[in-house]
Amino acid sequence: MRLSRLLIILVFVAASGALTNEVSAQETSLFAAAEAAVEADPTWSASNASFEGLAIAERVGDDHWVVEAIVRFDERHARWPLRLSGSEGTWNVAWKPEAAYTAGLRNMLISGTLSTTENSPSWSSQRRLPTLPVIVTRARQLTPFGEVADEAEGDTVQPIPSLVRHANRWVKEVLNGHPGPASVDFIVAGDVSWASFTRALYSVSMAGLYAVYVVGIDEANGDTSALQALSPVALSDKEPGLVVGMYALESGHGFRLAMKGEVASPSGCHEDMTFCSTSTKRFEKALGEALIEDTPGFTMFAAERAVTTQDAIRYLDSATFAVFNRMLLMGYIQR
Amino acid sequence: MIRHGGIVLILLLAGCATTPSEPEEVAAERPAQTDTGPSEITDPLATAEVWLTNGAESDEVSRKVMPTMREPEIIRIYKTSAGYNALVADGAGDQTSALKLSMVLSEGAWTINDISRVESTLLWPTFELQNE
Repeated sequence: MRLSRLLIILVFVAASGALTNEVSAQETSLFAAAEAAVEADPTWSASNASFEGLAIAERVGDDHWVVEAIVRFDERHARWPLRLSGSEGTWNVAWKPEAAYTAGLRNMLISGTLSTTENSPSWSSQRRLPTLPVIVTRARQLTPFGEVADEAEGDTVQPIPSLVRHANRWVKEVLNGHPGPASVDFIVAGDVSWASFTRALYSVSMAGLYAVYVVGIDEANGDTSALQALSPVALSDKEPGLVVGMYALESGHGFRLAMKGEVASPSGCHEDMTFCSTSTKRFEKALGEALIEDTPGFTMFAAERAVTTQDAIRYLDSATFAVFNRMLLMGYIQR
Repeated sequence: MIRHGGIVLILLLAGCATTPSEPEEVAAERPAQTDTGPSEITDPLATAEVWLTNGAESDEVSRKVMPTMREPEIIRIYKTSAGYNALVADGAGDQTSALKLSMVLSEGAWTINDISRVESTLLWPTFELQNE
């Protein structure tokens, strides 16, 4: 008799719990739906990650929003895109990144392979519209749609057809063709050549994504940072007021400056270079001296293929801090 | 391909150049009133939606801007250092101006503490190039 009553009570409690869960699911808010998605994701739950709100939520159609959840783990913050659908208080995850991407993102952020920065703002706090993230390493490339097949050989800078397709899927399937968002996050390993990075940059540009964020690690606090720049497609028909060309030398790096089409005279460190540098401090000083009388509106920072992304980002980050207070475009240079 | 002072740049595509411009905001200098309720505690979107339904007419700035919109709707929410901002714009496409609702967490609930009119440049595509 007691056992029967106990069973009845247990069944009642279980039913009550199920009912409670069902009701709470129906009343899920936009933010709660994003939080539930983070908590339910195997990669984030295995990392003891926590949801720290939404960096951005953009309406892309009736009852459809694309959001970026801020995920914190190992004292670092990541942005994780989701598409949520709902109405009348009921929100569901209509799309989320494939598991391979989320695992890749987590691994990149804790691997120590990202470029380090000193002056770029934190990734999670930057104000921008929902952004397509692209992971680039020497071995593979990943987007939230999965692995990017790259059949190219050598250091070509031609766009990667499959990455172009991924970018187009982002625009059409996730953004629903919404015309506002036009940016890309590059989560790129520091040992990737500038040529490989440029290929990825040009590929997403083909889909109209021209605002570029390169995710790095802040040297001071160890959190993620993001260097902001623009793809050359944003230049349109205007010529940059300043071009900074970066070249790999046997020792350190050489830089050539061209202001309003005029190449600055070599300083003597190398027959072709305006100045040479082995540290960002020397770079900032030399660049400041060269630009003392002229601050351009558009600046193109371009590196040659042999330069690594880590080195380029280090100087880009330094240059952004030193002199570039306006639009900064990333480019590619041949000797 | 563009040759530029001896440096060869590869520019693959022609695109749209955008010039950043600061939004001209008509700041509401006093705290705005809002109709809060239990449903909006954890969700700034819900707070903004409740305001759009019940509280819009109580604010002087919104009384001037809302009549110019055929279909006012919340189009964006973004995190700020103080909390969240929500943008209310015309869903019918005539996005010449918009309202910005600034929200802070107060005693466990998201409440609107400022309402201002913003120019359409804050909507897109220059949203990312502007600082507040």
